[in-house]
Amino acid sequence: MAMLSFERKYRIRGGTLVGGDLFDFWVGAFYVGFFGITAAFFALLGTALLVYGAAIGPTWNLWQISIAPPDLSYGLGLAPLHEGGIWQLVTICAVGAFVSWMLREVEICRKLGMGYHVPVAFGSAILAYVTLQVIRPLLLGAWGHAFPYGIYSHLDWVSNVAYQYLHFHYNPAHMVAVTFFFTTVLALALHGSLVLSALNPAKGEVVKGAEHENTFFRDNIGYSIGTLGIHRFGLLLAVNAGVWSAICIVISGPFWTRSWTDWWAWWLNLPIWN
Amino acid sequence: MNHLGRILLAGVASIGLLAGCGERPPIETQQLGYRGTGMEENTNPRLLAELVAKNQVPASQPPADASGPLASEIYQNVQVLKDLSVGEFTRVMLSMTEWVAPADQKNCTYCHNGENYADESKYQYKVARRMLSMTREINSSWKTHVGQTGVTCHTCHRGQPVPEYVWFTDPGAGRENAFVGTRAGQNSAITGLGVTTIGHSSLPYDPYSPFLLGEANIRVNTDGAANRQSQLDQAGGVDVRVDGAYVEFARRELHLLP
Amino acid sequence: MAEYQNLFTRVQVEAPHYPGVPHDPKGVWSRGIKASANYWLGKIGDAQIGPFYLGSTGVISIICFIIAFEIVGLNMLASVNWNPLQFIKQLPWLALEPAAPEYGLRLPPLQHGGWHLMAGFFLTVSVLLWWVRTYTLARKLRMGTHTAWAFASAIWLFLVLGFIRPVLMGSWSEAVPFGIFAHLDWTAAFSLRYGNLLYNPFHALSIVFLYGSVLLFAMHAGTIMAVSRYGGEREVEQVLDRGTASERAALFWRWTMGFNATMESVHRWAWWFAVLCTLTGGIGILLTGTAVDNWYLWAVKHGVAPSYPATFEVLPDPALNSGGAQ
Repeated sequence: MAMLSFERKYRIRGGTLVGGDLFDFWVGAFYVGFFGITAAFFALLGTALLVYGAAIGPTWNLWQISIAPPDLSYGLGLAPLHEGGIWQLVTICAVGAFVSWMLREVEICRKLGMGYHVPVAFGSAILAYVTLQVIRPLLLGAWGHAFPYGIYSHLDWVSNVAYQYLHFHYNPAHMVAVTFFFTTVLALALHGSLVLSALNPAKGEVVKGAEHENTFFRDNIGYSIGTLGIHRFGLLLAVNAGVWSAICIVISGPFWTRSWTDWWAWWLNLPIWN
Repeated sequence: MNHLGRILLAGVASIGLLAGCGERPPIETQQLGYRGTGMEENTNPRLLAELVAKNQVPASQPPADASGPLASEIYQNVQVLKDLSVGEFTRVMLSMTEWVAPADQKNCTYCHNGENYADESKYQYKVARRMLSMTREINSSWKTHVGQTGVTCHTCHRGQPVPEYVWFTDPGAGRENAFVGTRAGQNSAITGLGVTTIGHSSLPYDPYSPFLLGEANIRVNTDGAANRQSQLDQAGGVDVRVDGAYVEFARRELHLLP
Repeated sequence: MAEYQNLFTRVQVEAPHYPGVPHDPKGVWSRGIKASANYWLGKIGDAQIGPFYLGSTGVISIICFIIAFEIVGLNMLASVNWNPLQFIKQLPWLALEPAAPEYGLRLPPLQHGGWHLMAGFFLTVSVLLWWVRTYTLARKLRMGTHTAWAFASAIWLFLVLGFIRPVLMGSWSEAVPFGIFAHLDWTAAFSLRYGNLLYNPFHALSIVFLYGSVLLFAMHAGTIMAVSRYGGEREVEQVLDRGTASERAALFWRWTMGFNATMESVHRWAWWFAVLCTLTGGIGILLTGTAVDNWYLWAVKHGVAPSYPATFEVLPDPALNSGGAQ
């Protein structure tokens, strides 16, 4: 079996949310569980639908394949398969697969006696996806507002939706989200390199510990957040990046139709300097 | 309050805040391109209704009698509207008052000296004369742009002496003797510098002069993917600087070449 | 959820400040001894602030940064006629712009790009000196220099944007302005000028690593938080002597996605994802305008741009008519 040297003692029964012992087993390295079944079902069905959508399309070029949502005229109804229906089914499968994956992670956490931080963090990513593909189209009254499933075609969607607001960079929630994204990369680089620099010191040196890590950062920038703190901070940064991305797109359209540059007029018109 | 209660409250408060300071659904959208490309036009019907209300065409003056003596025969110092009858002339004057004069002075004395209507001393009088000849010029020489509809004073003025949307050439251009602090024609939030023209962004606040007064070309993209070495090419009989990628693009996407 | 999630420290212990591991070799400068405890920082991380190490490169770097900061700030203040209220009001709009294109790579007059060049110069010196500081501090503490090399990747992007690409394009005007909204305008104009940067494959790669880094940090930080009850955050100790924290963390991912990292290797994944973000991004910027003039047409040429059915009447392109048009 594909087990690590220490794995056997952890493979115990229990922790499931649904189904009890029925699906409580492993296939190779993968834990199954009830949600493993549902995740596999949705993922396979969704992928098959994507392949079908590509087959009825004009190309097999991986970069050009695009499965597009329905025309706006279909509103919130179900569209014919070849007119966006495939997209709708894929989206249902996607949500099903993602939520199943998250709940499977919860089951694995319970089995391993771990906190639920990972599935909760994944939840924020699922929230971003659902906001883009479900909540915002619902608020705007048509499934056609969502992005297509295609490598470059989804970027065309991004570009066109952004230009609808003339200068999307001025969206304040987008600014916050971008800041969280860039700060997360910075923090990740710092954390990864700090741990590696302690574990892989200068030639001939012994491995360094937390005192060295803290000293390096206190010397360098006057503050070291610490081993627990960096993980709290990193989790906070990464989850906020996803959450603010969701916020920035859900307000664009349902709660703002003008240029995002015009949003800043409230600041310029404050009575204190007018 | 428990954890869940706090989350719910935050959620409700955010929705309220959003609806209060932003806009709210339902939004009208019109699809402009193939599905899934995001090519659409969003309009907020409430904002649109406000805009429509602000731009209602006022009722026009009753039609004037084209017969009778000409205005230039009866009145003095008529230079532009010489060919109008007195009735038509009066109608124009009344319309101008309604369309241009400020709200607290919607009478003849905004432009005219009340004692002598032919007196040019008020600047508004001279400006109005230039405006009248401009309007006539637009309506006769620019039919490709204004068609048979034409323009009137109301088209731009909308009931105000200074139209809301005007454009100035960069006033800072001459102040270049400053040691520091050139704006380079942008990065300002001063309303008077036309910041509404550029939607409150920090973009150059005089986007019109280079194209309307100057010879600048608004197109920024080149014709080809390769850098700067576009070759002269005969493509489909059209003499054009392109490279292969653009020809293919024109053929495939624009259906413009054989 | 009634269970404590270890997100914020509930009880903070007051302890003597940690003075730091001594430097080897001990330099001319000695580390400061002032340190304080901040209660609110202590809620999420370590409460101790300081001691800060000055160092020669550090001091000069800070001075250069202050000079650059002042150049930018005072120019902004001057552009609003030295009015402090207007400065605050217009701050997001204010900027220090680079020279106009007609100056090429020559030194422009101060108010026409000279200040921008000077600010850029001092900022660059400051950043490079800070890199030296990061490197030498690691050496002095006898640690690996991984942080310095990660920083180098970020400096690569910084130099490409502000120096290398402008030099290759033959004009300081290509550099990014110093200003909050202004640098966003630069980004938008850059993308429009070069045919939609989303089609730049290195831009796409950089975004993959950006989103990937956020994904990775969420995964790694979440995992460590989830096993913090077993001391998972003591990563160095866990690497040297694998405890149940590392074991559970590894098994979580193995059971979820079929493979896993180790307590050390996850930090290598992290390092590479973060470093590759700015590395590929810098390459993408460097190629724009120099090797490729229109990224969409580049994508068409290389067969990756999707095509859509025409749904509306195509307008004539003036560039295809002889003589061109405005």
